[in-house]
Amino acid sequence: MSLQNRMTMSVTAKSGNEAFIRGAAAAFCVPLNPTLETINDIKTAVSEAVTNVIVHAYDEPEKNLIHIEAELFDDSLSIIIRDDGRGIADVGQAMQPMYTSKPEKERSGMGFTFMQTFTDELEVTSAVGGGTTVKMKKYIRSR
Amino acid sequence: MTAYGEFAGGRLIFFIEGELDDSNAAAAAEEFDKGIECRPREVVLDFSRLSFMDSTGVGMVISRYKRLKERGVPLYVTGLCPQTEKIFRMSGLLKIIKIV
Ligand SMILES: Nc1ncnc2c1ncn2[C@@H]1O[C@H](COP(=O)(O)OP(=O)(O)O)[C@@H](O)[C@H]1O
Ligand SMILES: [Mg+2]
Repeated sequence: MSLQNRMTMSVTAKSGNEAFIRGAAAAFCVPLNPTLETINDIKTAVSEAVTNVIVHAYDEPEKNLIHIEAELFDDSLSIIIRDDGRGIADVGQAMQPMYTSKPEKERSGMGFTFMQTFTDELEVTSAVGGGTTVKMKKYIRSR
Repeated sequence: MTAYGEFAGGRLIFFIEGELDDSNAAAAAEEFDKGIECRPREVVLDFSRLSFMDSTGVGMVISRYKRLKERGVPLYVTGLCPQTEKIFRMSGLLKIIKIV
């Protein structure tokens, strides 16, 4: 498992950046020649984590940032999506399938479930008032 | 993302094209809700030009499904690609919305 590449970026937490960030994460993995399914899994999982920052973390998302740190190994991607927002009081409850704190916004509450099913490892750490960090690892199947 | 409906013979075919996420799901939903004002007897989501959706799209589709169900109008889907098919399957949407 040797490190091939690293990337760090901080992007304005606005929904118009979701496509850009999941696209950047997918493009970052291209040197490993991933299958289309692997690319799609990464795009989906990253989209969920990024969407959560934009929808849930901040009162004024467009005045705040999403932080992304990625490492590409010869067999896998490790990616961290972090915010400095309100944090999650009960991470266990938040990760339950179909749990959402915003049902009135027609949210499905499937975000964490998708992050879990579409990656190989998911680690969520959060502190009320201290932001949320989502770390995911995905083994890359090559074409 | 582009969303539009085509109404013919009592059936609304609703197309969503491109990538559906939190930046555009509300716009797609608004267009859909306009489309069903013509009181279709069934609705088909045509996703053959939709290349990506995530859980925001799932929430949007489930809400539309529930609203139509209250009126006794069935909702179907067609043209799922591997990514959207996986989302439909993993979320359980495939259990309530049939592929035609
Ligand atoms: N970055 C975050 N900051 C604050 N709260 C969050 C964050 N991510 C997730 N949450 C909380 O966890 C819940 C579940 O998230 P998720 O499974 O993605 O469902 P949804 O986004 O549809 O609500 C959210 O409703 C929210 O309360
Ligand atoms: Mg979410």
